[in-house]
Amino acid sequence: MTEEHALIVKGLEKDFGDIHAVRGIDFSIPKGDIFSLLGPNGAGKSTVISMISGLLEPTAGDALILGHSITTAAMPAKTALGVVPQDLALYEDLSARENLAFWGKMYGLRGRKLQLRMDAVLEIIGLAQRQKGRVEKFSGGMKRRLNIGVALLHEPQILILDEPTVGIDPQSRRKILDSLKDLNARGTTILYTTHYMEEAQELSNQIAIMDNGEIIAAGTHAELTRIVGEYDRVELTLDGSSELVRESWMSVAGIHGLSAENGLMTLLVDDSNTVLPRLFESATDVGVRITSVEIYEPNLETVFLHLTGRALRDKA
Amino acid sequence: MKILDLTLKDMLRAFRSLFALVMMFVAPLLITGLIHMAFGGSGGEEESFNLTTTRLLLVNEDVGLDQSDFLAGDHVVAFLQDERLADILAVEEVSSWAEARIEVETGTAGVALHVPANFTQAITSADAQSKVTLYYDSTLSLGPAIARDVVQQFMDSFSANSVLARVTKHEFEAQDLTFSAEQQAALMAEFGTGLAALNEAGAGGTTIVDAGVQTTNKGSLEHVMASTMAGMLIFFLFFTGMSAAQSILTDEEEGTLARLFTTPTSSAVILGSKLLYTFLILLVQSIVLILVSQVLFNISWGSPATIIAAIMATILLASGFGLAIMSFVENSRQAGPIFGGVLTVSGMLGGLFTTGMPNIPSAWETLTLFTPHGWALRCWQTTLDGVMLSQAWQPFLITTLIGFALFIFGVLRFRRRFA
Repeated sequence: MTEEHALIVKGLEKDFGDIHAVRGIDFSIPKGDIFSLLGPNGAGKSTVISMISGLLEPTAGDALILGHSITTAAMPAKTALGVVPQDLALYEDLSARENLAFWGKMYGLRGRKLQLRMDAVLEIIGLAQRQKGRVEKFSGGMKRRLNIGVALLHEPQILILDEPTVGIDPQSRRKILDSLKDLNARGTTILYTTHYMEEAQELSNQIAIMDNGEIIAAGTHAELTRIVGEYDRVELTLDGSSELVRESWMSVAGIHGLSAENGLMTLLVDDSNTVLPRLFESATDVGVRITSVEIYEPNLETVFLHLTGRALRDKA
Repeated sequence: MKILDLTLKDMLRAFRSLFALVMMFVAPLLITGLIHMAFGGSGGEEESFNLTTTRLLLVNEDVGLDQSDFLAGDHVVAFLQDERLADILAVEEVSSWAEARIEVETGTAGVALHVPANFTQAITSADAQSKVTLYYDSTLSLGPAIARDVVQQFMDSFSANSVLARVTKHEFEAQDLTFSAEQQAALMAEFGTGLAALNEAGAGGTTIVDAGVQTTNKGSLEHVMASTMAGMLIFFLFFTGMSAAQSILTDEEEGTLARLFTTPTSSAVILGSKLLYTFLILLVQSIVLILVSQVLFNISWGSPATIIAAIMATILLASGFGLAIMSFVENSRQAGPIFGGVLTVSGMLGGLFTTGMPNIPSAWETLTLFTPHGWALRCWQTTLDGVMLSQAWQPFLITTLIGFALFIFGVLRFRRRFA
């Protein structure tokens, strides 16, 4: 199993005092796969990433990176990893090239090899023309790309990215996602955390959904959506109290999940064509008007709602 | 090798920061330079620390005594024209008191001194009185004060003897012996001659003249400059030491420290690089400040061995102090006020801002012993005094020990923090 897998996580736990941030999680990533940890903020994704990348010591459990334990063989394990932290971690008063040179040296690159790798990475992240510019002058998207570039210098076999697209424009996000697909096509194994289900859905071979420090479901996209069967996700906007309709809708046949936040009701239903008239009827009975309706095919959002009773994006 | 890469990266960042460069090199030299200029040291070596020369117009109308050639007024003139006072007073004899006053009023002269016609008679007589008038520009302080003191001292000498003459006369009369006015005048004239001889020999009026000479001594300016520069050197080394320690917090906040821990680089190398960076940047700062101040202010820093010992001891102390203080600080936002407050207060208590001043109370000197800065200052004072290390090693040892203790304390706290 070890030889086939780039990363194996076994019973990983992390406590911060009385808080159980990660509660014994297990997963493994075959070499060459993209694996996404999907979950709302605070689910424990970054804590898992921090333990795997050697920033936090696990309270229990272990992770094997290409067979190297993070607890007993941290240095070889770290050498195999490229880590892209959630927040930018760059020296703003150095140029893009100086940043790459420094971080490359931290991974043991020197001389001509370092120069070649810097040139290659600058091309990958699209900053070859701005390599001499100081990072403090860069846009948010450029900084994000450089932040990723730093982790690519030593051609890691496993790339770990912790929400690398947070707070950037759609164009930069697109570039990053395309770059990751390209890297993966060249054989890099990727562990990706996000709370954007679209990203997890687009990139991943395998997805694990985390909530409250636990993996509540894992599998391919198809396997996960199968959990909710053929349920439709219906989103309704109300002009009135959601509490009033909530009670009456709970008794409507064909509803399998319901969440209400900020005037938006999200429901999992068997067949929206059948259920929707009943919803309108009962809303009218309690004096609440439905102002908009959206119907979605089953997706990861639906799965999360089904498993936790909460909408994934509401916590993002 | 990685430790050097990390250190060079930090040094590159420091030398790219205009603020850091100003605080490391410009500020200490600028402050010392301002003090140098304030003491008149901007006019080159020959003009170093010259007080402004005050033009004194002297109207000597003393006519002396009928029975003697002795003219006390001439002695006043000679006294004021002594070459040892030439840097302070430019004495010119003029004939008209009214004109002399006008010159003072119009600002072309600083002081006018009028010696009346009965001056000799008054100081040689037991009964007569005379009034010497000093007329001066009230906006001036030093020149008139010196002129007044010189005249006052001169007259005090005569007054004392005048009293002696009166007592002698009284005693003579009590015993029905004659002590005529002529005899009294002759006695005073003899005293005056003796006084003049003493003055010419350099013994007369030594107190006031020597005091004047001392203030114009070039060595004194060098002492002020050297002491001030030493104080600034220590203060700004501590500043840099604390900034270097603060870079750990900055790296932590920027996320680069955490990222470093994800690379195959041990925490010992990361922390070690910070210490090496602190040492090197303080070393560069010390050497530059010593060399530049030597050229700019003509400071003689002492023997190389003692200088090296002082640099090493101060670097250890400054880095240890910075590390220890910063280990209590949560973030760089907190660091600013703590930074400024601790450095200023400890520098002040350590005597760094008063080091060039004369007559520091002994209680203050004692107080400085309770601050790290005070010990560092002692090292540099020893160095500046030209004392060999073997003769005064105690402050160096104590400074090193304090620095080492603070250093270990800071390292342990940071290691625990990043464990």
